[in-house]
Amino acid sequence: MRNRVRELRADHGLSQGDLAQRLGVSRQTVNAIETERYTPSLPLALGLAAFFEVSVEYLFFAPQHTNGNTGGKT
Amino acid sequence: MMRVKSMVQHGTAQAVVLAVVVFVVALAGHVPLGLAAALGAIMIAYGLLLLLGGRSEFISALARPSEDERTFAVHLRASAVAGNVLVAVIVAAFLVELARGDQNPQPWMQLGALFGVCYLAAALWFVRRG
Repeated sequence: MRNRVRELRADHGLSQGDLAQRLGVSRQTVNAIETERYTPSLPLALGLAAFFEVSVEYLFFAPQHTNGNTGGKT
Repeated sequence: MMRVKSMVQHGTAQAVVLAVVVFVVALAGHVPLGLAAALGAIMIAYGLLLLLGGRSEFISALARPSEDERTFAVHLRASAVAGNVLVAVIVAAFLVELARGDQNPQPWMQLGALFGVCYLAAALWFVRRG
């Protein structure tokens, strides 16, 4: 699952450890999500979207829709 | 107090308790002292590895499988792989014993039946719970 977590985390000036602490997960989990090795559960995806104030669809998207969804920022 | 809490969180305390249980049970079963101590020492060594694993993500996942959802998912998948390997070995051993003419291949038959019953019960539980 492609995502914009790294991009949004950088925009917020956070380290992976900072974001992990705020979401209650490990730094390795944030790293695994950013590198697309792990697809988070729906509650964690919703938590990430709420944290960055964007929609889940904006944050996570299928590989074939890499540039299609640009209007999801809330 | 914090040290004890840390040992419990890392699984070290549980490993030490298991080491003592293994040691006592082995002695009760008249296992030679050296072998009983070695069996206990293996569990203690595992406990220390969990405690002193440092920054290793692998050791951390072993020590705290419920730390977060990904670690828990790793734990579940690893358990499933280990369970599948185990049942494959049980079925293979059952068939080998059967082919050798053993009409009551113990303990493979019982272990296979136990696995099957547990699997069906768990599947029923999770199907009903959604």
